[in-house]
Amino acid sequence: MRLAPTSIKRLGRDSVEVVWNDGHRSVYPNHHLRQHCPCASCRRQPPRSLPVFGAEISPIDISVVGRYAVSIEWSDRHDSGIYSYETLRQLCPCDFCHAGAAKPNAA
Amino acid sequence: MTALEDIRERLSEIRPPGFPRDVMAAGMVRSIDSQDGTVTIALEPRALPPQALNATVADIRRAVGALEGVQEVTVHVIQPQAVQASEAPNEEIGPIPGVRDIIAVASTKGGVGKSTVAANLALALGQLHQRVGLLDADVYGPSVPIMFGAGGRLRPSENQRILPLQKHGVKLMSVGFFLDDQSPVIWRGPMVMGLVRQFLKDVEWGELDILMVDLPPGTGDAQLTLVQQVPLAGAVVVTTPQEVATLDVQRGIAMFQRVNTPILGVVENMSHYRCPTCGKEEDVFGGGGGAHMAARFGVPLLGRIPLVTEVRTGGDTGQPIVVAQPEHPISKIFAQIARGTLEALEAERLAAPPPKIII
Repeated sequence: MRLAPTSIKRLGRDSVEVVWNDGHRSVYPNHHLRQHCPCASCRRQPPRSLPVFGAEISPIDISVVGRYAVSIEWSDRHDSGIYSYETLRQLCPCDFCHAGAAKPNAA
Repeated sequence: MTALEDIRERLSEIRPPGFPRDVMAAGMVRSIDSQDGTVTIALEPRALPPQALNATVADIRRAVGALEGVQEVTVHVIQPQAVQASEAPNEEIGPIPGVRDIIAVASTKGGVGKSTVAANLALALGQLHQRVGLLDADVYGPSVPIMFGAGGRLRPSENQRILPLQKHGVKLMSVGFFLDDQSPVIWRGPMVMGLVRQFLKDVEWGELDILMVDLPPGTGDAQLTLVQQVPLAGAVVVTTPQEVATLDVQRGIAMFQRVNTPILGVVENMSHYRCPTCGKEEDVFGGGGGAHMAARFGVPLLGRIPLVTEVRTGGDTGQPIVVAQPEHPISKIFAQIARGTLEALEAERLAAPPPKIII
């Protein structure tokens, strides 16, 4: 089975929840996702699109890209990041995924 | 409530270090919003170096924050326009309204008869009561106009979109409709991507069960545009049996798998040749490449199409064999491929629904 999210939800003001088809649940703080924006201008050194100063950042729109990714438009109007499901899962900040021992379907 | 005038006045006193003008005069302030003591300012810094930008943002926060009634100041830094413009073509197209499934017909290797298969498969799907459109995305070698014997002036729809041509019950769009027969298409990648985008977005496809996209061979711009910007329901991969063809097609399959596009199945074209005089069958390109590949990637072999003259003449005269001779054994094979495609689509629909998004 291909790993894919079954739901993607804004959780309160500061995070995004992704539930996966293997049952895993990831909760991403907004700044964590924004900081790891995979787009070319964020990934180049030094980054061309600058992080937001001041208040918390939040997604204002999330849409499905093809069958493999989602794109997120942020409140700083940055919208070129395409997060493949694979990347998104690797960004999961939970202890279980970070321990490195986690197999996706063991969750 | 703090008046925007007051905020503007404060901003016009702020000059970035080493910069000749203040942020208002330089046009860096894109928007100002003031609500319940919270002021939000969008700043487009252009060529400001990072240190100067940080200092400027700090200055803005301090100056505006000192205004009466302001509790919170948020400064959003917007990336320069030039960057946004160059990235705009990557914007996704999303599902096409009225179109149920978009499927790609791909081959990665040229000359395997992909367009012939696409044309006949489109017609065979039509015979199974599907409403079908065929987008010829092979901008370098458009073949849909000849295969369908379609041409003539394209007309705009009422709302100024492009109306597809219709032939044998299939809606058609091809770059070939915009060219005379001799003019070659000499285009760079971004133009190819732009055209594929336009054919998907600006053509009035109407209500369709299946929109087939005949991709140019390879793993280049047209393919990328498609897989990144529209939710493909799946891909049909066409190959010939010989080793060198199947190697190339494996790359194509790997590309689709990387972007989670399901492979609906493999069609093996020119699988063998039957001598019209003695009836002896000859495996011109060797045997079983398609079956081999299908087994290796765990995808169905949708059908094997022998090398038969009528398939070629059908394509060249604008009367594909499926409509010219619906009872021909080859047409039966295409009907079987069409049924297999529909079954695979249905299976995929059940297996991987798109995620629910709640904002």
